[in-house]
Amino acid sequence: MTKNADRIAEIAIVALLVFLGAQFLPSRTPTTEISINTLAGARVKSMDPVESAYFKKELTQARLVVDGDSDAAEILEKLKKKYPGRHEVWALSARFLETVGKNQEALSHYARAVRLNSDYLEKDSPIFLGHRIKSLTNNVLEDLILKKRKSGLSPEEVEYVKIAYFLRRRLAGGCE
Amino acid sequence: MKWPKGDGLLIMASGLALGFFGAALAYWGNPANSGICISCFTENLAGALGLHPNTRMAYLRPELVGFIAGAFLVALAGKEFRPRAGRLPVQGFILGVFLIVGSSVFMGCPIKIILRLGAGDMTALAGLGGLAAGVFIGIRFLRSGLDLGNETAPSAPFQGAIVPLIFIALFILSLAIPGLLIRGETGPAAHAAPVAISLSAGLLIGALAQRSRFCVTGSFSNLFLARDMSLMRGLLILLVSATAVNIYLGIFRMGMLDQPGSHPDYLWNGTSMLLVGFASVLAGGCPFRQLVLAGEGLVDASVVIVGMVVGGSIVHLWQITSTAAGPTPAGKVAVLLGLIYCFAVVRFNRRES
Amino acid sequence: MKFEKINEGNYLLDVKGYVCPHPQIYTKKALERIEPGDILQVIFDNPSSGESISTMCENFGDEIIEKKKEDGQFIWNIQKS
Repeated sequence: MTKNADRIAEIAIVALLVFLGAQFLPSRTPTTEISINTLAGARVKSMDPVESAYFKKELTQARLVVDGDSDAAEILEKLKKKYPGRHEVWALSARFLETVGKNQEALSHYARAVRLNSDYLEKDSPIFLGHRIKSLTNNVLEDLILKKRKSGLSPEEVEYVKIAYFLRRRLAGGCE
Repeated sequence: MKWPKGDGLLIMASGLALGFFGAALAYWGNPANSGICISCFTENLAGALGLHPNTRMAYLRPELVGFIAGAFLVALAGKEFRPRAGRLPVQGFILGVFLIVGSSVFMGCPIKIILRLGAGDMTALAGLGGLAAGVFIGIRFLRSGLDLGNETAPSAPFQGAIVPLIFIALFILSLAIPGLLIRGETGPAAHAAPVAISLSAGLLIGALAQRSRFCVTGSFSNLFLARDMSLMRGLLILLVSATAVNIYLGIFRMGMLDQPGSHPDYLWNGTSMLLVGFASVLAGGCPFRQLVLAGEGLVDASVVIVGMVVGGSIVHLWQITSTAAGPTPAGKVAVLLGLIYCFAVVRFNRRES
Repeated sequence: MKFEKINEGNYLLDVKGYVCPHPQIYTKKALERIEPGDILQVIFDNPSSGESISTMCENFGDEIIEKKKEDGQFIWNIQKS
């Protein structure tokens, strides 16, 4: 390779690196509470025993409230803010959202719970919810695909399609 | 086209064995589309040794031991076991780390690209393109006078046998002392073909690959460099046999959005495999080939493998590995660092000949 | 690595100790440097490079006029076309 070709190669490499670096710039803020990007970046948070004891207590209270359905939405909001790294919180919110008929939001919350702990899709696990998540995923996706053909999708709905496919991929198994 | 003979047939047999067992092992119990995946298996090994806390990815896969042990035994038997060392060890170690970093962001090693394609997963095409581009870049730089130093026989020939023997010893210990190594009870670690099948498949493939010198990135580099199709033919047979087995077993499902163990972020699928291709050329072979080379006594490959195990640990500790939701921010940063590292290796090893 | 001119029309390339894909690359580069008709002697010890060097010569029309093997080393004479 001549000097010139070397120079061109170097410029191309720098351009590639700059282009890839630009991927880190903030893109438009997601309109849904949970987007595919927040799923990708979700982190499990470890807790010390004291924190963990508090968390368990709050979670039990929330469970009772959700079952009784009084002010559940507000309490769950607080819990999600306080413990975003705990799968239990997202799964509980998902269950609540499902009972009030907000299927798309419920799906995204299940997705977040699965992302933090894949045991929800593990047949032998005590927290297995695979069948429930699978049928919800299929329903939501079917509705969205129908709507796409009829009238097109809003940006929020596009995000939910992505999340539904994320769950499809996880339901299909494979390495993590 | 001439009908290949001798080495050519061995290469095709290696491709056939890898394709058949790659698809069949997933059917017999390994995670879907991951019948054979060096990066997944290496991450599993790191987990089994307790080097990362994700027990879902903790299992000493008999296949991994089989590859290196099969190559080691056949090389010994065929008098091809020649301990050699002398390249830049630290440099190779870090290349090993980045081989796993790139693979984990793509979610699979170069062999798994082909296996995923063979199961109908078209997201792997971006990875294949990236891999080919990475090899091409690596070859360009090698041609323009990069010299990574040559191997000479080390003063102590035992050096070349250390890592293969450690793998064999670990495996025997894991059978003899249950509980010594960590074995995850959920997730991919719980999905495994029976040990006897895994080990025999591994030994067979390791032995064939030692004789045939099969290598995924080598297929591309020989094609680009010498218009030599012999290794590429093995790769094509791998694809065809994996596809055939998957169709026969009813696993084949063409698609992009809902494939197991994948994410549809094409940019990072391609970029991460570009890193793997580039790093593979600099390290002298794809992750699978490194195992076989280590079995042959190449000390530098042993060093790369130790780097790969460390890589298998940090990709989980630092959330570098992608999930079905896509690449993580840390993963993207790590791939960029890897590319910068490869360019630095090239930049500071340049020697005009 | 050693690349030198032995005498008029004869060159020596020593790539012992190199593994893939180095021997192929150096052979290709060396063949590009010499004149048609010249003979290049390549010494290498990486078996997997042999196949690809011979395919390379076939594809580019260069002729391998002699192949020798001495305790793990390959010594090939290649005539550039």
